[in-house]
Amino acid sequence: MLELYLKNMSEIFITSHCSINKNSVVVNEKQRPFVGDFSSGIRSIYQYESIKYPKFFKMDNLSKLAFIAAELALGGLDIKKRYESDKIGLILMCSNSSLDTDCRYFESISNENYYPSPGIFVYTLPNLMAGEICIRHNFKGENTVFINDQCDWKFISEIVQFLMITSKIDACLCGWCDLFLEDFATDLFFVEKGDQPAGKKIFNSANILKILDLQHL
Amino acid sequence: MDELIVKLKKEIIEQLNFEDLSIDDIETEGPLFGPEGLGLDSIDALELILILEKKYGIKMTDADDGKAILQSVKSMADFIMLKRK
Repeated sequence: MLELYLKNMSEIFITSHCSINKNSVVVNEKQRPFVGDFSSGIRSIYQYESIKYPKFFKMDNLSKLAFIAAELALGGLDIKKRYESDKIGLILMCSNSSLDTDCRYFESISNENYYPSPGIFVYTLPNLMAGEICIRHNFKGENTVFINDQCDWKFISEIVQFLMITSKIDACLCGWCDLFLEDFATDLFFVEKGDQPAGKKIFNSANILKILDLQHL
Repeated sequence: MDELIVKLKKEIIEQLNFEDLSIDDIETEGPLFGPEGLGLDSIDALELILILEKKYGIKMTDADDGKAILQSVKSMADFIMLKRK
């Protein structure tokens, strides 16, 4: 059983990844600076990548961060043609949950002539970022957002491996996506089950940390 | 009427955060909902109802009328003009 487990583990590999923080945008080892504050910087990426998705502008900041990271990580992979929609999963983790939007909503209803906006209220849950990615990319497989003090790659990789070993999914976008005010960071990895292509790393927490460490050199 | 239509378009852009749209991008008689139009969803419908309530003091009392009233910017403007009479 253990042998089978280890064999299956070795059949999950990292296809692509994207990291965004206040200093940089990294897509599969190509790095460029993140310019400006969150709002202007994330809009610049949207425009630079020629993304056409008007709903982007209606998202809260956490969803915008997750959405753009997913766009960059999945760009050019043509996953809609390669996978059944219910075989692609999404596993995310964050620390601040939807606190950023919770505060904005609280502020919007703080005066006596308050005007509660359904468009803001609807984002007062962290799993809305997962929903936005699933809608955009037609993911219908297992999807979950975990809340934890810090990013736990061992936990994330074990969850993804379990889902793949049990054949719930064949591919997964997974990782960390967290934001509160101007403090933001995301590291998303797209991982797939199958034969390991040349140059691609096995999906496990040690390899993820190696990739992320290289970004900071 | 033209002034009201321009005002409504500006309010839709502002309230629904369509940062990349200008008033010229919104067809006056084009559908607001669905893939053929502006692509608004049910949450946006609530925002439009709030625009009518808060900016124009008009309450939509019959939910069945909503689909026709929120069909387009023109239908919203017609509804506002009707209520103003």
